[in-house]
Amino acid sequence: MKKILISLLVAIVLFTIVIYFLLFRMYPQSTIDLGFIHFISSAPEGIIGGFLGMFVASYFSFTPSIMDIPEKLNTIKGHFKLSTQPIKTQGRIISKNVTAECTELSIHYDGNRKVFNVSNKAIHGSIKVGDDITVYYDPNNTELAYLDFYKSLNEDVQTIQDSDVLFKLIDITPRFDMGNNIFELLGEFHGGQYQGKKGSLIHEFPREDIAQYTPGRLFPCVISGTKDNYSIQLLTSS
Amino acid sequence: MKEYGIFTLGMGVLSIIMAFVHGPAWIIGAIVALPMAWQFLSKDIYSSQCNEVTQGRVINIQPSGVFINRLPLYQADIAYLDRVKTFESLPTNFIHDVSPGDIIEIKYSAIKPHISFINFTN
Repeated sequence: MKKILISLLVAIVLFTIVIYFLLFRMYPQSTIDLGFIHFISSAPEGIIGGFLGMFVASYFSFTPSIMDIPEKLNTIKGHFKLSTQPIKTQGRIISKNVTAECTELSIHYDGNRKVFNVSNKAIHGSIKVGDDITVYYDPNNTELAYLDFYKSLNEDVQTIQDSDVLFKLIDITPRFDMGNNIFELLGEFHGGQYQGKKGSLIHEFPREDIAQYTPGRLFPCVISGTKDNYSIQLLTSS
Repeated sequence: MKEYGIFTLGMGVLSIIMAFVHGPAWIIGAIVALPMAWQFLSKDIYSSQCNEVTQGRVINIQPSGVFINRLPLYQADIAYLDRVKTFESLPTNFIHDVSPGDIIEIKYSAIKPHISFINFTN
């Protein structure tokens, strides 16, 4: 019904313009002598056919474009431009509110919290509160941010779970500035995909266990997480 | 496509000049030619800005009603990042290579994420 009404309106506007140019505008004698304008004036029933033709043309060509305008304006309203290259980080879903059209996700990332209204069609698979998600944000305006469900999905696929790894302790440094029983362990990984790589861990243990952490000692460990964000757990007897 | 774009852009500019010189009716030519020129040229302009790659999921594919060399062009709704975008003027073989639900590569601008196109090179 809406489409028919818009088509009628467009046809009336076009028809009025055409009638003005054909009948009411003063033409030079040479144009009038061609006979076409005279023909239109003497056969007014043809005007009805012309109007119907315009209505049909409008219904199939102009009206669909006109009806798309609100949706296109709405889409343009959602566009934004970041001031510089975005920072990529992992955000965590704090809350989730699903409606018929979209999902409202409150996400915490790098000390900020923002509510994203995401179309349900854009969400792939199931997401739940507590899930990590890739967020890109403008370093000059942290409110300007967008999510990448598909990168997160990709990273989930590359989940690391490596328990066949040994950590060889090279050096140990007390980090009492961070806590009473906190030490920084510098070491080398052996086995699994991290063979030969060096790493440092912040580890908490009672001071009386310090004798266990002698340089050169090997500790079994478990590496878990994703490729960009993983944790290392030392399997000690304490 | 670039050649068509430059040609239609020229027609649009000519129509605007003629609208001032000859009569306002020429503006109709500009209204038709300039959007067409943008359609032809925008892909080249935008593709130079798209430097990031992500994945997108095809939601649906339908004919766009436009034919080139008697072959229909298609449009597809594709979800990428946190949005859904309709990619228009897709070639006929798109419907043979891709179906709804498929994951495909999308190139997009990191600064303006709404600017994107399907990465056909993969």
